[in-house]
Amino acid sequence: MIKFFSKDFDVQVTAAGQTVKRTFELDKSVKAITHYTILSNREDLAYYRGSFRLEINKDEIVPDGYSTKKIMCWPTVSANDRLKSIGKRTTGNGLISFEYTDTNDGLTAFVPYTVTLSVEGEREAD
Amino acid sequence: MKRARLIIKEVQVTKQGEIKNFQIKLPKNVQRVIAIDTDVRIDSRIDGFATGGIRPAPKLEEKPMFDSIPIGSDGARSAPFLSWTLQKNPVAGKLKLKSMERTYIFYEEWLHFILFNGGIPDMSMGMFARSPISLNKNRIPKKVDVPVSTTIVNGIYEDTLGKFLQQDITYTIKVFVWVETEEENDGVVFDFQDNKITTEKKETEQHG
Repeated sequence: MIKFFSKDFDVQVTAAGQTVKRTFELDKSVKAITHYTILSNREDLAYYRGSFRLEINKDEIVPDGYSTKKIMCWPTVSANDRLKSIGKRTTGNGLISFEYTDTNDGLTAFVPYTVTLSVEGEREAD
Repeated sequence: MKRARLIIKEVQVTKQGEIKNFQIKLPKNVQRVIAIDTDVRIDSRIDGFATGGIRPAPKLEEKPMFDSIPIGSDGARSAPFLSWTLQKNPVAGKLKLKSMERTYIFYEEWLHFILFNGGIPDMSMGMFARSPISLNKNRIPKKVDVPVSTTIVNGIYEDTLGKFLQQDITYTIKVFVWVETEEENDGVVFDFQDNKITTEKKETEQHG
């Protein structure tokens, strides 16, 4: 029996212009990733300054430079539409590679912030 | 359905009224371009206008608790108490994309710089920090259907933001080109690739 799976992975951005690369390992019971989004404790900074690259099981979902604002969601977006659908990507080796890049822009001043990669998917029942 | 891949092209604009010609190189296994999306990032600081112009989002961490509103000779503040400002999303310029396989331009758009909290009145009255809330909607790439074999898409971009402000503004435009490749999709189907239309068409064809 397939069950719903959801998990958040945090990345700390501590310096302006920093690129943070993290590889997260999923539990073996997780079989597929179906949706993802990016959240932050400073949404305005992630919105204006962020870009990222995402890879699941060594398969590039989006390349380096994809704007975070394209993936982020807001309170005005209905709950069903807040996560981006990617079909059903099997997790294989269970590794998610996430590379977040902070870029200086003309509207914001940098302060350290946290970016969260949130994924949803399917897992096997216990 | 074949696997969709994303190609990103960044073009930096530095001068007012600048016209940029650029090429977007696609991978060799591309079959067609299926969707286009865009983004703008302002690299240089813009000074806001009092009325009718661009009012960039204030830096919350530097916003003073009280704005320095001048007090008139009668002791009243010269600015009305219940006044607020509204930020508008400025137009950055015009983008056109052309493929060698099509005679005409297949994609044309006025690029907007979408502010995080654009359209929200600033109700802080100069007393409170502005709330970092956004009313933006998640944008879905615009669908196009352009078969390609030359693996190059030509782009033209003309700046209007710098021309309007009459100053050189440095900003970067990003063009996101979603392409369909020869790869099998291995389960990855993006939200804009709704196969409902294709399925419905096939069903209609079968029944018809």
